[in-house]
Amino acid sequence: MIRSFLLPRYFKFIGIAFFVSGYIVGSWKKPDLSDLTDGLGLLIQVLILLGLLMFCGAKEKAEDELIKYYRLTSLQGAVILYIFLRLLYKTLAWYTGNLDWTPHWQVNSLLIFYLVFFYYQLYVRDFFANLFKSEDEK
Amino acid sequence: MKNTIKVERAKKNITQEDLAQKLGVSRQSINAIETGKFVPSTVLSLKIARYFKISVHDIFELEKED
Repeated sequence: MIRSFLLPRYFKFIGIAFFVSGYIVGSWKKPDLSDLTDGLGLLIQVLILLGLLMFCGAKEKAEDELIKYYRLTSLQGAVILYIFLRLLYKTLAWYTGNLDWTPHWQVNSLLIFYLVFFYYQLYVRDFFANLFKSEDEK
Repeated sequence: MKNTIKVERAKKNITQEDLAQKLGVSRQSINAIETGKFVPSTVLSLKIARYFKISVHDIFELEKED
């Protein structure tokens, strides 16, 4: 993700609010999300997608070259995983003749994969690496 | 590429967080550079050298495989 396209940090909280409100309304009203003429269903999809996009595109506290590098590698990883899973599901649908295997998930999953890769690199990997270090090594 | 940031930091008695704040980067960046997981840009390398008041060559050193 190019740095100039990044949003101010507060968009992270707006993104969470959009995503959570979309998710709550979706779970409560349960509209048919595949019906594009259903206004509520469309609104929920827009809220969830915009929320995810804002959360992904918001700046970190210190937006530096390492974070820029993590953004790039996370995006690469997410695209590869997304394509691989879609191909796998389509192959399974063809092999089993069962259309339940057809992938229904859309761009949301690509953004979720990106977030998982990004935050894993930023926080989780270091946490586990430090867990097994002695005090002297730190 | 190996570096002596950890040693220089110990001489000045500052934490990764302190150094990160002085250089305007994240603590994760300093940690990744120290452990050799990330090679900093020329600009950041020069900033690190300027902060410790030593040459870039005294901090960063190429290894055989580089």
